[in-house]
Amino acid sequence: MLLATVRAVSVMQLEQSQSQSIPIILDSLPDLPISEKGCPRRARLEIDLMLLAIEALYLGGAEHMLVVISELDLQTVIQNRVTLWRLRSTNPLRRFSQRRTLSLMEAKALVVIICNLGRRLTAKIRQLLMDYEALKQKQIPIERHLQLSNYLTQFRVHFRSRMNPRRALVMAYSSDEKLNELAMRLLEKLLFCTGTAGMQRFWISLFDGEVE
Amino acid sequence: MTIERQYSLPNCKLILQGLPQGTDGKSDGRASLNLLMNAECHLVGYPQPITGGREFFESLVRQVSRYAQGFLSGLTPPEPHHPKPELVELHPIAGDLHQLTVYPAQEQESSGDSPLPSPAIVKVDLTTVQLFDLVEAIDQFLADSQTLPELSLQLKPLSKRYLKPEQPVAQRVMPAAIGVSSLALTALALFALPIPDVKRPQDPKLQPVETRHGSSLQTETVPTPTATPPSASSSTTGEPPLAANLSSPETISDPEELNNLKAQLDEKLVKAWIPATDVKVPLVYRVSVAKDGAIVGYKPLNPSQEQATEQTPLPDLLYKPVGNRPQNEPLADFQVTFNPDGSLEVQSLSVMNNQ
Repeated sequence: MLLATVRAVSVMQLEQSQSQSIPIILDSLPDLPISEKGCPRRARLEIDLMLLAIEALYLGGAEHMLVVISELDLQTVIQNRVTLWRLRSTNPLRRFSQRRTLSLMEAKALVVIICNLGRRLTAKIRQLLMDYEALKQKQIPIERHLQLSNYLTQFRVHFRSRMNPRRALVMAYSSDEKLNELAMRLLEKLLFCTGTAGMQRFWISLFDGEVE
Repeated sequence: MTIERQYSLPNCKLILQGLPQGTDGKSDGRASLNLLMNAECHLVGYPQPITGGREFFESLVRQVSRYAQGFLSGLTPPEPHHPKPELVELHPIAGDLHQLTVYPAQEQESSGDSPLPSPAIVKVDLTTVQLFDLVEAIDQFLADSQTLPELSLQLKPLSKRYLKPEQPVAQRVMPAAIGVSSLALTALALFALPIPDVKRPQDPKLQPVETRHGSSLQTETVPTPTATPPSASSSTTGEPPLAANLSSPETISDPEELNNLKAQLDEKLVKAWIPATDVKVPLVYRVSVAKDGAIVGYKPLNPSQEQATEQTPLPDLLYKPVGNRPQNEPLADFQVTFNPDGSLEVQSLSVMNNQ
């Protein structure tokens, strides 16, 4: 931590360029051969949806993302909340989808944020998933479970307010049931992100079927 | 001296027993386990631990890691080629469960001290949380450089080659290929057109219906004695004779009409489709639609997906003939993709042909 700070300061002293230093934590994710058009569509979509699930999991999730960015010295990649919003808006389903690309470095930073926040939420994610299993087995409606139903409601609200309803894929999620399914699937993936190799696994999975 | 390593999680405990190999001078107090004698995998809810030797354990590591990646990306990786069949398999099953199957090893000489008198196939159904614990136990083992150091986390994204189209790029290539091949098909059919045409005057009085059928270029198909439209037989057999629709010389080409039909089809499918969770690959169909929007035929573009048709709303939506449909009514062909993520894509094939 200290090292990183010293390094960041020295870089700032050398020149005020922000793109010079690459946060060390991003080195744990391998570079992958992608086209000059940046990260593939599915990766951009998936990353934003995972962040959306995190936001639905706890209030102020978006603020926590900014805290993680500064804690992990990711400001060189994601300077502020506007940049964060722009990067997330590379999700093609967004209402205000950005035409810009998502670079590997930016995608890595977002994946680090997802996994970092995911880890802090491990206990809650596990509990929700286990309760969900139990409810399903006993055929009790999910709405009876306060925390689960909170999560699902929040997720649906976030999804509907931010995604473009004219997109075919968004239309496919027009019903509450479909969105709940999506939310549960994201929660399961989030659990996998919390593991020892979760970050690597999630990162690599984003490029399945995208490389030669 | 036997070394034992444990990787414990709430739902899964992995116990490895083995021996160090020689004295490799590592003096950090923790000997390296290099020779695996026995591996035990305890799963909560399953009384007997699953045990085996090195072959079992390597297969477990490989298969669980592979399945975890497929779970995350939603894309099914192909079976890796190994000289020996895998002892461990994982498959998604109904109810969002994951079935772990362990086959007994052919020769049990490696695990001398594990008394397994009746090796039987073990099947365990895991919930997603249990699956995660198994993955995590294995990842903790892989991260442990003092236990079988030659095994470590090896992750690589799936190559494009192994995949059915899901991404825009792939999607653009796939319909183009289909478009070209259907163009070739149409060309072939048109090439054959003059032959039935010559025959036409010979027996119009006897069987006018069948002859008209013949003129619709079914040079290869067995002439059907009945005058029922193609969709009639399909509703009983579940196998729509799409060839008849495909070779129909008349296709709807008016872009506005096509768009309209496409929208109708899209709406019908979106309303009727409940994505099945056990389908992990995109299901791609060619669907023929009549002018009034009725679905009169469909065919999986990948013949191996014939089984999966039941997962789609197509059999339900297929036009069930009440009256007689015109034999040679103009049709529009669409390519419909049911993606495992619940999304649907509808593309007009005739638009592809014209490009």
